[in-house]
This record gives sequence, C-alpha cells and structure tokens, in this order.
Amino acid sequence: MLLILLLGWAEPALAQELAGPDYRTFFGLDPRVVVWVVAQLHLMFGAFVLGVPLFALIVEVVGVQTGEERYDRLAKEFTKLLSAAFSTTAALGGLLTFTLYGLYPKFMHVLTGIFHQTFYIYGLLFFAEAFSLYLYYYSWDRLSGTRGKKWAHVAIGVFLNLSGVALMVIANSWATFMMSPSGIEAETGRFIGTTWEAMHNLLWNPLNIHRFIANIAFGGFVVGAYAAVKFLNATTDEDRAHYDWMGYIGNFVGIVAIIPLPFAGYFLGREIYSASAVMGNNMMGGTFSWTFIIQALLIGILFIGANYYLWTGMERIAGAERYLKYIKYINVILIVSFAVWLTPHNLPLSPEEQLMMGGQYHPVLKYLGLMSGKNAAVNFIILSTFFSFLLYRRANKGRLVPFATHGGAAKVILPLVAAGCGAFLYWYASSLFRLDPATLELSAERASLFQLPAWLLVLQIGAVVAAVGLTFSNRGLWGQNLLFAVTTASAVFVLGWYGYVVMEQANSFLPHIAVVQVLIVISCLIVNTAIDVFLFRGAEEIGGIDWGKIPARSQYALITLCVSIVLLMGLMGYVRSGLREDWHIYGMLRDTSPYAYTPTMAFMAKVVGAIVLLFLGLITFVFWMTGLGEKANAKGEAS
Amino acid sequence: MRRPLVNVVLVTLALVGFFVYIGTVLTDISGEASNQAGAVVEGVNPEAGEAVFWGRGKCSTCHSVGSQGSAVRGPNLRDLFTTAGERTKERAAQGKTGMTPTDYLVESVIDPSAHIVQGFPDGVMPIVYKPPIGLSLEDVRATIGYLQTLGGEFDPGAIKLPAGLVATAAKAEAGEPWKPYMEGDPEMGREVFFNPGGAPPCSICHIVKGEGGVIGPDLSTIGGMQTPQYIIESILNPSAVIVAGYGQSRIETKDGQTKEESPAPVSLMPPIYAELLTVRQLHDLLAYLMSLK
Repeated sequence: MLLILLLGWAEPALAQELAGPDYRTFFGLDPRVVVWVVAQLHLMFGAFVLGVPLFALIVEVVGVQTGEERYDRLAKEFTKLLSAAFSTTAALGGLLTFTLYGLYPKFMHVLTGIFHQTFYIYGLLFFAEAFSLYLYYYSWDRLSGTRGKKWAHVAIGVFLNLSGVALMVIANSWATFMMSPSGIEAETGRFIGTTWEAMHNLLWNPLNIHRFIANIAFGGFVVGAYAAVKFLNATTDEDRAHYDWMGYIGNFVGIVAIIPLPFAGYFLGREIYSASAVMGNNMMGGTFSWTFIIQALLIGILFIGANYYLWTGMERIAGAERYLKYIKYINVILIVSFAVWLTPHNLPLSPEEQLMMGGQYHPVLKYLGLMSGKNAAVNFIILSTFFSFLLYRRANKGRLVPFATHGGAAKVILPLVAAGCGAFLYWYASSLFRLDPATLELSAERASLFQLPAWLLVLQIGAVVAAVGLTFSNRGLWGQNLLFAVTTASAVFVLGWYGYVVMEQANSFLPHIAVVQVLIVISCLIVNTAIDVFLFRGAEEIGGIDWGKIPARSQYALITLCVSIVLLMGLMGYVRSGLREDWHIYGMLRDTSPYAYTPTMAFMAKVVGAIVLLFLGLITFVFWMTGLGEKANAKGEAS
Repeated sequence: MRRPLVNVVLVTLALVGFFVYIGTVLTDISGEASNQAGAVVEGVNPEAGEAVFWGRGKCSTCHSVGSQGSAVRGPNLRDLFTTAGERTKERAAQGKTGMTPTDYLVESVIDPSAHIVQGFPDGVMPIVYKPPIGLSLEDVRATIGYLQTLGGEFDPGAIKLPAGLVATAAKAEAGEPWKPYMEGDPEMGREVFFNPGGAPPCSICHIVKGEGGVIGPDLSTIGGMQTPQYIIESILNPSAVIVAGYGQSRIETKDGQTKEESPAPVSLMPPIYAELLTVRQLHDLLAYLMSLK
C-alpha cells in the first residue's frame, strides 16, 4: 500500500519545476511555529543527552577513585536514562531536518550550499556518539571488576563525551552563522568565504561555552526531578535514601553549572553586541528587553529554589544546626538582590501616573533598573549561593586536620590555582592601567576613571595570596572569609556604585566594569573552592547524613528547579532565534514570508509553555518506558 | 493516580501557567500588542519619521529624546536641531565648511563616523539604509524630518541626500519583479468573495458582473486595471487609497448648523480582513480578482 501511495505521489513531484517556492505551509498551519516547536524540543532533548554523560562520567570516575560502589550504580542509572532519551533526540533531529527542508526550501538551499561538508562530519559523529553511548551502557557490567577494566570503560565514556561535544559544536556553528554570518561580501551580501570561515563566526565560541555549561545545569536539574518523583513514590527506606542522594547529586550538578552560567551569558551577550550593535541593542534595549524580566524571574526561582533545597537538606545532617542561623541573612540578600534584578528602568506610564511619580522615572528605582545595579545584584546572588553551598558541605564537619599534614598535592595545587587566578587578574589590571582613553572616544583626563577598577583587581590578587597564606598557616576558614569579604566589598558594593559614576562620565568604559566584577567573583569562587576541598579533607565528622529523611517539600523544590530551567531554555531559545527578526541569516538572507514578524510575549509564552509541557510529558514517558524494563527484570529475579 | 504524582503535575502546571500569565501581563504593560496593531504612517513627514525613530529604525534603542526613552548608549537628542547648528561650527573648524544644521543631521545619519560626539564610541551606530536595518531612503528622509522638529522646523527641501546613494537605491528598487507569496486558486477565491464563511463576504459591498452590492467600487474588471500589490493593500489596509466618490464625509455641526464638510481619511471598508482571512484565502481572493478583466 505504501509503495502504491509513493508511486502515486512520485509523478506530480517529478513534474514540478526545479525552482520551487521559497516557503511552504505545514498543512495550512504556520510553518514558523512548527519549526519553532520541533527545534526547541530537539534542543531540550539534545541538552539532556549532552549534559548527562558529562556528569555520569565524573560520577563514575569518583566511584573508581574512592572505590565506593554506590557512585558506580548512580552513574549507570544516569546512563540508563540517557540511552532511552537518545533515540527520541535523534528522531526529533530528523523531524527538524525534514520540516526545515520542506517548509523553508530556499533558506535551506543557501545553508546547505555553505555548510554541506559539515553535514557529513555531523553524520559520522552521530554514529560515533550512538555507538559509544550504547557501548558505554551495555558494557558496564562486562567492564567492571578490576581497575583496568573500569578505566577502559571510562575511556569509552570520554569518547562518548568528545563525540557529543563535537556534535554540539558543529550544530552551533549553523545557528550562530545565522546570527553573525562571516565570509560575507560587504557590498553584495553574498557568501564568498570558506566553510571554516562560516563556522568560525563571532558567536560560535561564546555559544559553545554557554550551551556546554547550560546543558550540564539542564541535565542536573532534570535528573534531580526524576529522583524527586521516584523519592515521592518510593515505598521503602532504602529507595528513599537512594533517590534522596540521587536528587542531591542532580541539584549539586545543577548548582555547580548554574553559578558560572551568568558569566557565560554575559560573554555571549557582549559578543552579540560586538557582532551587531543593532541586534545587541534590540536584545537589551529594544523589543526583546522585556523578555529579560521573565529571564530574571526564572533565574531568581532557580537560585532561590536551589538554596532552599540545600537549606532543607541540612535538616537531615547532624551538626548543621550550627549554620542554620546564617540562612535568614542569605535569604534576605537573595530576595533583595532578586528584587533589584527584576526592577525595570522605566515603565510605559500614563501622563497622570508620571505626574504622581514626579517624572518618567522613579527617583530611586530608576538607578536599580540600570545595568550597574543589576550586575551588582547578580554577583551578590552568585556569592550568596556559593556561600550556602559551602555551609552545606561543612554541615557535619567538626575539627579540621592541620593543613601541614595534607599531602604534597594540596601544597602544590593550591598555590598553582592562586597563581593562575592572580595571573589572570594581573593581566586585566595591567591592560586597564595602560588603556588609552582615545580608543573609547574619551578625553585624556577620563583615564583617571580606569584606576579604581584596576586597583581593585590588584587588591583581589592580594586577598587571594592572603587567603592561601592563611590556609597554609592552618587558618583556612579565616582565609576563605577574608576572600569573601574583599570580593563582596569590591564586586558588589564599590563597583556597583562606581558603575553609576562611569555611566555618567565615561559611558563607553562601562563594559570594563562588568568584566572586572566577573573576574573578581570568579577568582573568589575558584580559590575558595580549592581551599574548601583541602581544608575539610579528613576533618572530623560530627554525624552522618541521614539519607531519605528529607522533608517532601524539598522534592517539590527539585521539581520547581526542573520546570524552571526547562522554561528558561525555551525562553532563551526564543530570544536567541528571535533576535534575527526578519532575517534568516542576519543581514544576508531576509525572511520574506508572511510570518517575518516578532510575536508578542503573550504568544511566545503560550508556545514556550506548550513546548515545555510537551517536553516534560515526552521525557516522563521515556523514563517510564525505561522503568518497564527494570520492573520486568525485578520480576524475573524474584521468580 | 497517586497523590504525589498529582502534586507534581499540579506544581508543573502552576509554574507553566505563571510563565504564560507573566508573558501576557508584560504584553499588556509594554504596549507591545497595540504597537503591532497600530496604523502604518508613511511618506516624508515628521510623523512618519517619528514612527521610524521609535520603531523599525531602532534609533530609540540608543538615543533618548529629552525625557522620552531611556537609552544612554548614544547622545540624548533633546533640542537636536539647535545642537546641530553648534556642531556645524565644529565641523567647519575640522575643514568641512558651509554645512547647514540639516546637512549635519544628514551626515550623522548617512555617515555616523564622520563626526563622533565626545564620550561615545565610534563604529557603534549602524548604517541605517543597509542591512540589517535596511531603511528605505523615504524612511531616512522622514527620520531626518522628524529630527529637524527637535528644536527646529520641518523643512523637507533642506534634506539633501548624497546623489550616489539616491542613484544606487533607485537601481535597487527597479530590481526583481513583485510576485505573490503563493499561487492562489481563482475558483476558491470566488468562494471567498461571495461566501467566505467566518468573514463578511466582499459581495455585500462590491459588485462583480452584476452580482453583489454597490456601496463600494465595481470590481468587474479590476484585474485589468490594477496591480496585485494594489489589490492586496486595498484588502489589508482599505484606508491606504480611497477611490474617488467612495470616501466618507465628516460633518461637524455647531448649534445645529453645518460648519465644515471634509473627506475623512478612513475607508468605509472595515480593516478586518487581515485578521479574518487565512494566507491561503487571501491569495485565492487575489487570484480571483486578478482574473476579472
């Protein structure tokens, strides 16, 4: 029957002219929405299958190193979810390709002409990923028992991750070429470059970094939600303990990835400005600026939710009561910072409302709505979350082991980490000391404005050295506190205020302030993490962690984190793609279809909401199918 | 379903519902929906220029005008025409003599790097008549006309764009012939004309070969008289061109007497077909009307 149908369709298809239409509709439906839904679903599944292997491998390596079998079991359970989701990702990828070629033939003709060589590499890498994934999963038991076998298995995992990352990087080059095409002839807008030039466009690496980190956060929070559902439905203490621990690991992975994510986002945003000031301004000051209020709301939920989960988790840790008193202060910081981040600079007001407020801008809130206030707030949120995480880590730890008794690794790695951070801080400080104001269209006397941020970087180098020095003299906690204090004072308060001064007197220097804030905060995160790892190694344990004894409300926090990050990915996917407005390839190939307009946020929210429900429904179905095999095996073993 | 699962579903639906609600609220308070539905102002006049400045020209993403707008990336354009007068002196000192304030505005829009205001970086302002903004020269003239009104008077005669630019634009405009987005079916189009279902039929007001109403123009030979672009514009934006004899008259009375009688720039035909017709129906209708010769 199928053959007859195909033969029947073949004749008119062959009779068609070679030059077909530029666009088609999807059985009368809006083709743009169809591609939007399929592409976003593919990206969500893709994020999951790229993010999870990264931390599954890390968990497996931890298991090999520590010899604790529970890590190995957990890594295998992650991989089991992965193998089930992989085929769905591939099927959605195929559907996306077909819809794109079917509905946007002219655009795909152009894109194929530029990128077709990469398509073949992509196909080969897909085989590599598929084979290595199934090999990784199905050889798990066979390659266990000895350390040699386990390391061989880890090597397969490394190959799996390399294939996955390479796939992502190639696909990213297509997406970023559409935003910042390179190899274009300025006068005619024609592509005259090589495929490599097209791939190596300005936004390629920023998006690679951003997606790499975001995929890990996404995978972590989705796995956390899976564990939460399993925990809530568990009938035995053993299961509850296992899924509590799995949820903790999922949340841990999510937090670790989400802390640097705003920095990667800032880098991507900054490069979008560099690629096209029009696109950049449209993003932060034009049509799309309102979507960043929703973004701030979702990121706020993620940070507050992740902190809430940690605090709830401390209830099952003996010794954590010593730190509970700090939580209310962290809470206040998070909520106030979150409020600042959400504050818009101005709102469309009626003349009466403006009269009541005394002008278009609120006398105080107008300052909080500017970038300086928001940068200070987001840095404060990141530092507070990191502080929460450190409290959780040390919740059941008592007396510390003197640093001098740690092995040689600690004495080498810690100074190396500090030296690396110090070198980076010094590099940027020296570039600020030497910065020529003329390059920013500023008069010579404005160079004095560059001094303060440069000296704050020097101060941070001093704080890093002092923190490590204190750790070496067995006062690591003092060192960490000192570094936290200097970082918060510099990056949040001093530079938060100084941003307004710079905005008033030398606006073109403002992006440097944000970079200085980022560098100071990142150096604090890296050095304090390194200190913490060695500081609490071998420390006395006050009590154990009572896995499974966590309140049920914590599991709903995990569900909230998962839904929020899926919504966030849907929203930012829309923003990244929508920024091109009525261009398929920005400035090169215009979208001339009737759908070349930016939809309203109300419409966007409905479509993204539907995509999120579809994704969660599909992945739940995939996980349920995975569970069917588990039940069958259990029954078989029981009988 | 077990209670925890129900709770998980409820939490999920609540979060997604909240997201949709926020999107709807932001659409309302940003005025986004009304902007999209707003009337298109065209021609070389300050009103059209103002619409370009705050809309598709994207000027307002960098420039504020006094207290209007909040962008700080480019100079505030309060009393710009007066400022432009002062800048002509600076330009004269730099060797470019004989500029009028309008010449300075033209230079700033056409060649933004020619003169950079201190404290603002070079290379940031795009060439607005090139992609990705791609304004037409009419849009550029209208925008400069609007900028003239910021501290000065609208003077279209003073706006002199570089001759080379005008010639290039004219050549580009004479390029590819217009073609519809998709081929329509005249038979289906006839159905849309007389009995569309879900939208008022065109035949209520228009007559075709003896069939239909007489409130609007006779369309029996419209396909031989007009271009497809004109017909599409007339369907989607009926007030764009009103055929003589078919406009409305507004009569304003005071104390029961006629004071003034003037043609109102609004067509009797309601602008509802952009919403009611599908893309397919629009093209079928176009094919039918083009077949009437």
